[in-house]
Amino acid sequence: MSEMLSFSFIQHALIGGFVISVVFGFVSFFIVEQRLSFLTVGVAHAAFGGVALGILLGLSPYLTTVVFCLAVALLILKQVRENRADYDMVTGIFFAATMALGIIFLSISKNYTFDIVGYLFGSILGIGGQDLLIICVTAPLIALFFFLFFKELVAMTFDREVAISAGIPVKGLEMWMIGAIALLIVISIKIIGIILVTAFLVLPASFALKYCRSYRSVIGVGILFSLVIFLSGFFLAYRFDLPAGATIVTLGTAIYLLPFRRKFN
Amino acid sequence: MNEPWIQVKDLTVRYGSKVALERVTLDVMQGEMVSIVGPNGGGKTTLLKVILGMKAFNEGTVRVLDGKPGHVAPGEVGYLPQINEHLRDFPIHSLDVVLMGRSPRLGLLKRSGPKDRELAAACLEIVGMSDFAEHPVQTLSGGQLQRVFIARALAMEPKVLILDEPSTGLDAVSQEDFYVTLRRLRDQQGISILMVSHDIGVVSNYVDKIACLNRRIHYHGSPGDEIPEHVIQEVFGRNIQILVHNKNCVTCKEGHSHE
Repeated sequence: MSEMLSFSFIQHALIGGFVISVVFGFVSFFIVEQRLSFLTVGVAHAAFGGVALGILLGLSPYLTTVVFCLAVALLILKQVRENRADYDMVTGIFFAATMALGIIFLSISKNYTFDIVGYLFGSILGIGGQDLLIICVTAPLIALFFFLFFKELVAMTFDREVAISAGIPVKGLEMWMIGAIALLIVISIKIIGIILVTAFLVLPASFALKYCRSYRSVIGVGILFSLVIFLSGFFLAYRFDLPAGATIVTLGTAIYLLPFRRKFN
Repeated sequence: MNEPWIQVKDLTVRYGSKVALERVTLDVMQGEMVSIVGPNGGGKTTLLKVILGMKAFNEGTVRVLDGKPGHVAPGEVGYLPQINEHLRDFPIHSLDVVLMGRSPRLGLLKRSGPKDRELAAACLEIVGMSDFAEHPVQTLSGGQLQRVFIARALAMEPKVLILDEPSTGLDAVSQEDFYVTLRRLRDQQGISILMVSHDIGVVSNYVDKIACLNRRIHYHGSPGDEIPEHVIQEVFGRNIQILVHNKNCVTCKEGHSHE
């Protein structure tokens, strides 16, 4: 164990994963209660288009992915508002369209060495110092947004119409919230992967909602859940030489399915 | 006293070529309790949304507490939308729901403090739900949930309370209870109450004024005045069976029902 912890790539993975787990556990409540699970699938898959765009333009894939995913998330929101559509339908369109664009970008760019599996399923041990820095700066800022506007975000999640009538700037907050979620997805893709990230975003609150009867305990239990599945998944993966992201998500799903008896207030 | 807190004059609202409201005029005075009745699709919710500033209108003037709709000071207008059973799935206790009503008075970025909790608890007391402060909303009945929502609106310390179909899903006894609570609020706190309802039965016993709305206002009356038959037919259509409840009805007091 101590030998394992002495490797710098393990330290990077643990610190990055820890920070991401706490913020995921917190934000998970808003994603589940606002029924944005599929939106997170759409934004995560848009990252594929973003990375491909970076390769095509010869720019940093991080930069192009941030811009691309934010643009897609806000475009989905715009379509939802203008067409009075739901996220499910609009995301269904963009989910495929951004993957299609990604494939087109890659086919145009002639020479590329691209670890596609790493992006799809995450490569937690490939987290470099720069990746860690981005995670440790951005994730707390995202959490700070949810913390500062917590009262308003809970009110609009609970009863949107009353929140609007009470003068809460629901549309503005919603836009920032979608943007923050998109950013969170982008910075965590290297750790957990495009395909697996939604499970990690949805599982904490889904688990907590089975046992908790107040939103504060849902968030608390959600954060705890996400830390438990990350740490135990990570060590299991290391011990048995399994892919980390996949182990974490499989473990999380197994715990979600377990029938516990206790309820929390 | 006697100044209109809600003033609607010659209001017309169109959705494309469809006219939802046509030259509607209505005043709600300070401390008055007014009900708008009419069939579904008659423009009741549209009228409320215009007054709340959530819907633009084409013609006419609308003033709420002497300001434009939607531009009144935060918290002065409490709103209770049609009950949404969906809300019951949310993990929250009654007292926390009521505390949400403090939001407009607190403003952005400020947290509620002990004083807000005291006020929220007092609002639950007013609606007779003190014993349920720590109960999750999942465990409340429809009537209890509706009272908690009233308490949330009261926590804003509003001057005007707007309710959309507040009695939907309540049984007869809960409905009566609910209207009694509203009347007490009106009497004790002097707030103006405007509500819409598709039934003109029980509600007519408790309000100061009734307006029948089906695109246009067909009738303004007070309880005790009998709504003319032709108005009812014009508003609700011919085939509808309505129980018009008249507070002067003697047979009713003797325990006789209107059949």
